[in-house]
Amino acid sequence: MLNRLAFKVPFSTDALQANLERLEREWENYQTSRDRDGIYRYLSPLFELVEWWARDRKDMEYARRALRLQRRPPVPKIAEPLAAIIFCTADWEKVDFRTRSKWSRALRYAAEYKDLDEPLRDFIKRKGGLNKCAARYARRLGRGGR
Amino acid sequence: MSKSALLKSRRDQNRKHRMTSIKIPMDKILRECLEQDDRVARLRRNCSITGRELIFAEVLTELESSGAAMRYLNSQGRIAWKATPELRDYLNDLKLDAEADFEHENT
Repeated sequence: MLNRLAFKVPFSTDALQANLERLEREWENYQTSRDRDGIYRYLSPLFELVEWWARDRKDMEYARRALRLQRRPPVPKIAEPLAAIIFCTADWEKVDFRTRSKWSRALRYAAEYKDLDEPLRDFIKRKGGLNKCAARYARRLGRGGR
Repeated sequence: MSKSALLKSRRDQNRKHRMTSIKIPMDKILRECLEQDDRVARLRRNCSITGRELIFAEVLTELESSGAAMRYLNSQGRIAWKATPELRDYLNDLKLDAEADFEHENT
């Protein structure tokens, strides 16, 4: 019954917008912080959001909806939900395609191998950092990896 | 204990029982917010489980849309609910204000 109810509660456009705004605030907090690990203040809630979307098997649908909500043209076609939400919430002049792709690969690696109760920051640091996790994803799960 | 106090206590116990009969995984802050909602408070004992679920869903949808509640995957892999950092900060500010007022009044 627990999950049945959770699935029944619709995820409205207003709720999606509220979540995107929350992530935008986290991005701004990260930009103003001098913390070496400040990036995880942004990536952790983003990962948490897309993680439950994926559990609901709605990650693609909600990411597409998030892209449609963007007012800044031109919005590229981004098939990968994590990359799409990074595009929607981070400063797109500071986060280029390569960085977005790297973060997205690192987070997909975490989605595959991280225990649910381990904080994202701890997992990524334990595995050598964002660059290493992105490389691990490419090697083990990316093109030709499987 | 007077008869009215006894009745009130029983009503509260019943209400508590009703609240816990639907176990939506959520944190303490959000559960308290939910319990304070009028619609939840008006739930009748004979209200069907479906009816209760609908009311809970309605309140949670509103809290989520206003940026007060968010969903996440808990350590059991279930979709659970918790208060957003914004709501936590807001409540924390209220608590600090109340504590400051209390100290001010006592000095």
